[in-house]
Amino acid sequence: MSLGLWALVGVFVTLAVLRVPIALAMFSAGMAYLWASGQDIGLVVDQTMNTLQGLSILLAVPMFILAANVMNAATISERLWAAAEALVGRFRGGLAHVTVLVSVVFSGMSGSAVTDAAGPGMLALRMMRDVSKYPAGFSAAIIAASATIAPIIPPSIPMILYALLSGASIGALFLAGVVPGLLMAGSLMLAVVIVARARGLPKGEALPLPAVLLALRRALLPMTLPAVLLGGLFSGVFTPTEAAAVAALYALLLGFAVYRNLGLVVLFAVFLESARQTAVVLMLIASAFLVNYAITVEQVAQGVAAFVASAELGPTAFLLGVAVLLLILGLFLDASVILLVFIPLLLPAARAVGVDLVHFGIVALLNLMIGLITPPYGLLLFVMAALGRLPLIEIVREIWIFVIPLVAVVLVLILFPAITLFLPRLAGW
Amino acid sequence: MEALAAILFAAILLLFAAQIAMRFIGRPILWSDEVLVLLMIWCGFLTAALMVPERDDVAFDLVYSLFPDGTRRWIALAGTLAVAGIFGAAAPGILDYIAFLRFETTNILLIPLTWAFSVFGFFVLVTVLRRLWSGLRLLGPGWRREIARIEGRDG
Repeated sequence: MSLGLWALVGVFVTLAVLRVPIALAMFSAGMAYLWASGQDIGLVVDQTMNTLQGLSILLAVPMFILAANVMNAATISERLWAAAEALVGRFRGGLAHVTVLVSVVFSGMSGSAVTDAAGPGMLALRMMRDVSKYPAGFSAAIIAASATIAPIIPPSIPMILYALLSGASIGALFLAGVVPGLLMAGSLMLAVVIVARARGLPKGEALPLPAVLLALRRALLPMTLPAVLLGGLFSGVFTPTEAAAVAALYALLLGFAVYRNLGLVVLFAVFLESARQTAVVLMLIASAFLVNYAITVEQVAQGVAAFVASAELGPTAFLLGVAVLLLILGLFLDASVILLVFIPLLLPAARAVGVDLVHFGIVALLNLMIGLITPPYGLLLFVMAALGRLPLIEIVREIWIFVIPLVAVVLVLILFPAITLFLPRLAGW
Repeated sequence: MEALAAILFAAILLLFAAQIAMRFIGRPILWSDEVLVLLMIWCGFLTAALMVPERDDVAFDLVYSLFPDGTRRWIALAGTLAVAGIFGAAAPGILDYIAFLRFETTNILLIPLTWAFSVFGFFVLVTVLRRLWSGLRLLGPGWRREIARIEGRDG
């Protein structure tokens, strides 16, 4: 390892342990690398700003963030909840099924797991824990687990970042995520069935047919958005970036003109909050560009690729190894760090082994999402504990029962690439 | 300040809507992509510099949270001063480089890159000042409040 690389890793690890925000730690590590390797510090500007400037695809990030925030402000989750409850609320532990179902539909509009947990998730917690007296830890656990679906079913902010890093087509990634996302939902609902019976969770009441139809009709407009987005992408009417803007505009139209529950004051707050969330993501991306510059110059990824090549793994064995590695990293690291720093290290190896980069991306992202709910470091667990005001340990105790089915989905996706790849291939990618 | 962030963000949305609409009627706006990206960069770095509280940032606190408040004070101080030092040492070179770009321009509207990228210099300088300020507060009698603020426990 060169002196520069030592400086990079040393500064990053030291600052991260000192609880410096990750983006600032990555910027600092990149600067230390440039000094230690005798390069011009002006490269910081070159690598971050020039790279950002050339990537208009990044514009999808603020638009998807905005769309999800508007959906939350316009109480669209309430309508989705009522519709899902009318359908599956009558089963034992029905509200947990409702939570999964709402997550699936919301996933089709939002690309961020945290937004899903903070928006529809809070509504779900109120309904399960406060209204129906479900155990608090169980309620928070199924919400956190369902929220991991959001970035797998398109739109998806992590997929946009992965596409930037790998050069894989965003359209193909979006379509490839649909079936795996539905599989995740199915596996979680299966786990709910088992837990609900074992713990004797209450059943909801069955609604008469007219009430079911009414609830569905009231949710019809928001439910058309995922269909419009997917249809537009599938047929090529709009690009993924434009799809993001369309989603945001559609949500604003619903809130302002149709449901009339958005005012200028709320809108201002939504814009400001969206600007904040965008800034956090943008800083992570910009600083990751700098770190990736160092990693590229030092040819670290080539080293990893050579190592993997020397092990003579087939695609399946390689993906299994990656899954184990990412699950372990996910115990301790934030998904954004793994995605922006570790995934680029694995990409040349994935290419060399002959794994389809779309397939690799979906498997890797699903692993990262599981990392969001595995302790000790699981962002979604923290979000649920903070917003739901309940002890972290209560959620941790209940989460494993939902981690198992999600890991099973990872295995299925690795063993059967066609599950992921048939939709994008059907669309001609 | 908050109004500026919200307005920049709203501008991105409006220009995006205009771009899609104009392309639809067959008269695409040629400069919109360039302006959209610049707006996003400016909105992002200004907001990150001035309006993102520490608790919203992604940080690794597994080690940090093992310690009592007294120790956390020194950990936070070491981290914040290290960032101030590194960013401070890099600032002159970064500002030089941005000034050096004055003869280079963006592709379509020919905006000098010195102007386009100046927001990054601003971000670096504000980061140094904010870290120093946080360091001072950690050294002073109000350090418990500063720790609560960093961790987002101050409600």
